[in-house]
Amino acid sequence: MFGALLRKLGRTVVILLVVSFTTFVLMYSNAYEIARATLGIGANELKESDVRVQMTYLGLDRPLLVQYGSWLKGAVTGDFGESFFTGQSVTGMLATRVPVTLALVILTIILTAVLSVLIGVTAAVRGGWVDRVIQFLAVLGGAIPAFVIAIVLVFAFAVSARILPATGYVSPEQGLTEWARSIALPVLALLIGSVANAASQFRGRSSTRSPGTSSARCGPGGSASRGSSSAMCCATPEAPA
Amino acid sequence: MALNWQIMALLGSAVFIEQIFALPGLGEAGESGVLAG
Repeated sequence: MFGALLRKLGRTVVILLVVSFTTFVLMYSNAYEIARATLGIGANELKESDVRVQMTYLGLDRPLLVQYGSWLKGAVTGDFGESFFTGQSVTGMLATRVPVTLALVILTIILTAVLSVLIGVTAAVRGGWVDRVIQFLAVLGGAIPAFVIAIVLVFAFAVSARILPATGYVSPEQGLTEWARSIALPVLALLIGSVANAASQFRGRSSTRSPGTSSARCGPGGSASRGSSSAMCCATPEAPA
Repeated sequence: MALNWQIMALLGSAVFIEQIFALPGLGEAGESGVLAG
């Protein structure tokens, strides 16, 4: 138990190191352009030596490994450095932004869990045309990218109907209703694809485990018979010996 | 494992969606964006 926990912890640390190093190399390998970008729009008219001075000021002239080591040392203690553009602490910026993203994700996960179970089980139990319609909508919802759904929702609810705001965020402290209105469309945009995928899974699991439905239609050895989904039959778990 | 991947995918989508709706989350667009800016 303790050994397995240590192994998982070790693996997580290795993954974090590999991912952070790869990301760091990808971002900082072009230090000259980063320095030029931080100088603003007029940087194109500056001489190369001016950009080099900025590179030295930002510490980007140091070897990449030294830069990564310095970043890692700070990251371990919770100090992710300062933004090149705003000069603000990255930890502080994360602290103000993470709650917004988490609210969006947690709300979507909770609604996905509730709705996908309801829809998936309804499809599996009812069968017939209800099942087919739900399957069709699930495939459609899963296939359309979230950003397309988001744009359609903005047109429908913000531009045409004018019942929800298209952009902007209201914090919960300013009013729960306004907060809910401000994140309603983003959550809905995420929810459609998420529910579509999860409902298909729940529907498949419910069908294979319910004796009255599709598992009864599966042939011997899990092969599909007429009217059943081959994917569902193949997914039927082996009975314990 | 599948659930982990779904949550990670959802987080990625959320960061992207925040840019469309101009939400001040990790995906906030512009120079102050932390991840996607």
